[in-house]
Amino acid sequence: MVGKNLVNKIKKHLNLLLLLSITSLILINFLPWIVVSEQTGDIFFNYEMMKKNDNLEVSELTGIIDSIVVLTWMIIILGLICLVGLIVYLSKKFQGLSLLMMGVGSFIFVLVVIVVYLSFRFIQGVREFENISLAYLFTPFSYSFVIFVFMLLSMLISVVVLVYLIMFFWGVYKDFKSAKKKKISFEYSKPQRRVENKKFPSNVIPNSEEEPEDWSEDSEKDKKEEKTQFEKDREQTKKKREKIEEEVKAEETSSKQDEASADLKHEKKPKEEKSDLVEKEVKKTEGKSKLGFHHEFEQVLLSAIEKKKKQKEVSKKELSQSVDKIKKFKVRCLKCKHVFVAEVKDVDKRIKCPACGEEGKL
Amino acid sequence: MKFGEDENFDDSSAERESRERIIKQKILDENYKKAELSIGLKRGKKTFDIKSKKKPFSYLGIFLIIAAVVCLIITEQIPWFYVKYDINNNENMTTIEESYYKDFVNKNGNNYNQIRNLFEPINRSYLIGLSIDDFVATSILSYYSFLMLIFLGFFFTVFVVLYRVFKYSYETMIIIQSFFAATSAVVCVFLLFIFVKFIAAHVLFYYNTSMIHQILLNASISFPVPVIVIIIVSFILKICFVIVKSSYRELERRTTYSTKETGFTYKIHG
Repeated sequence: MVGKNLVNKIKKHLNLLLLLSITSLILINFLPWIVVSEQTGDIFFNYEMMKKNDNLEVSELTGIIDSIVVLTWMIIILGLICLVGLIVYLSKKFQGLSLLMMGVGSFIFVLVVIVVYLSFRFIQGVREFENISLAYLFTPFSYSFVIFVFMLLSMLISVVVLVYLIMFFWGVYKDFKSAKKKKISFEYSKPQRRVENKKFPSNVIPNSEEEPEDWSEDSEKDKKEEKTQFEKDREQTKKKREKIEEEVKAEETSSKQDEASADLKHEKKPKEEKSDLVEKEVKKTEGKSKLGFHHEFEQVLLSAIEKKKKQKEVSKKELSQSVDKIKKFKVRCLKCKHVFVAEVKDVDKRIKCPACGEEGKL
Repeated sequence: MKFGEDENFDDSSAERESRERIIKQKILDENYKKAELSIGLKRGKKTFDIKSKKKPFSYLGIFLIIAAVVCLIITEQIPWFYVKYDINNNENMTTIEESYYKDFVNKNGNNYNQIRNLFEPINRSYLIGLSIDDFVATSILSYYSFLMLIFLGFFFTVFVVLYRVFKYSYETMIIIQSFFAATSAVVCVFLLFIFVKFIAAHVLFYYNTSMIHQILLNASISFPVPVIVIIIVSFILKICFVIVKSSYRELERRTTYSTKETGFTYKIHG
C-alpha cells in the first residue's frame, strides 16, 4: 500500500483543483470579456452575448472561449474521476480500474496548460482588433485577467498533482515488485510466518462492530494522560489511606467499648496496645515511597503485579496452544460472497467455502 | 497465665490481624488496577470508545430527490423574470411591474412587445446577453437536469435497499455512493453553468444601462428563480463533495487499520 500521506496530498490538491476549475467555469459565463466600441457607444460583451453576435472578429474570439469552456469541463470531469479512483483504490477493490482512473488524472496537467495558453492567446488576440478591447474593472485590471489568474493557479496545482501521481505510481510499481519477490520466497519463509501469526492469539481477531484503536498513533497521548492520571491517583490514594486509618481507628474504638463493657478489669492494657498499633501505623505512613505507598505495601503490590503478569503470560500461552478449543466465526467468502459459519481450531488452518470451494485463511 | 492477663487476648490480636489483612486486601484490590494502568499493563476503558461510521450516508438519494422536486416546483411556480419600468403616456409617467414565468409567459399567457425589445438584438448585439429562446432552452435543460437528479437519487436509494437486503460489502457501497455523488456533482455544475448567465445579465445591465434606458425608461430587472436555484444547487454540490470526502476518510481509516493490525485474507462478517 502506498503511503497514507501521499494519497492524502493527492486528494487535497485534487479538491483544490476542482474548486478552482468550477469557479473559473462559472466566472467564464459570469464576467464580461470584451468591450466593442460602436457609434452609439461602448457595449460590454459577456460569453453568452459573444456567442449570439454575428461579428466575425467577435466570433473568432468566441471560438477561443468555447474551447476554454470545453477544456475546463474536461478538467472537472477528469478531476472527479481521479477523486473517485482514489476512493476505489482505498477500498482495495477493482485495483486495476482504480489505477486507470487515477492515471486519467495525469492528463489534467496537459489540459490546464492548454487552457492557460488559450486564455493568454485571447488576451493577445483582443489587442489585434481596433474596435475591440478587454473589459476592464479598472484601467490596469481586466476581467479576463481574473480568469487567467485562476487558470495559472490551477496549473500550479496540477503540476503538484502530477508530481504526486508520479510518486504514487512509482510506489505502486515498487509494491508490485516487492509482492512478486515475496511470492517467490514464500515457501522458505512459511514456518517463520506461522510463528509470527502465533503472536496474535485468537482473541485478537477483531469484530467489525468493535474495532480496536490505532495504538501506535495514540501511544504518546495516552502516556501523557496516564501521567496526569497517575498524579491524580496518588492524591486519591493518600486520601483513601487517611479514610481507612480513620475507619480502623473507629473500629478499634468500637471494639474498645465492647471490650470495656465485657471486662472492666483489663481495661488499660488493650487500650495501650491499640494506641501502640495506631502509632505504628502512623510511623509507617511517614516512610512513603515515590508512588505514595508504604515501602512494604509497595513491595506487596509489585509482587502481586508480577504474579498476575506471570499468570497472564501462562494464560496467553495456553490460549495460543489450545488446539482442542473450537471457535466459531461468521466468515464471508471473497470469491462468491457467501456468508457461512466456520468452526476453526487454529487461526492458521485453511477454511473451505461450502458454496464455491474457495480456500482461504482467517 | 498471670493474674490480670486476659484469657482471650491472643484471639483478639488474631482478629485484629485478620482485620488488617482485609484492609490491606481492600487497598490492594483498589490500587491494583490503577497500578496496572500506571505501569502500562492495561489500558483504560476510554480507549475503546471510538465512534465508527458503520453505514454509508443512505439519505443521499432521498436528499437529491427532495432537492430536485423542490427546484422543479420553484421553476414552475415562481417568476423567472421581474421587470419594473416607466412609460410616457401623454406626458404622464406610469410605472409598470411585470413578472414572467417559465418559457417567458406572463400571468395572462402573453408578453409585451416593449419588453421583447430588451431580449432582441440592437445593432446585432443582445444588450443583456439573453434572448427569449434562452428562457425556453434553460427551462427545458433544467427540467431534464432535475429529472436526472431524481433518477440518480432513486437509483441510489434502490442500491441502499439492496445493500441492506443482500448485505454487500461496505467498500462496494462506499464506491457506489461516491460514484453517485460525483455524477450528481457534475449535474449540479451544469445547472450552475446554465443559470449563471441570468445573474451575469445583471452585470451587463449595469454596464449597458445607457443603451437599455433608450428601450425601457428607468428599468430595473431581477431573476428570482435563477438566484434561488443557484443557491439550492450550490448547496447540493457542497453536500455531494462532503459525501465524497467523508467516504474517502472512512475508507482511509479502515485501510490503515487493516494494514497495521491484520493481514487476513478473509474478513469476519457481522
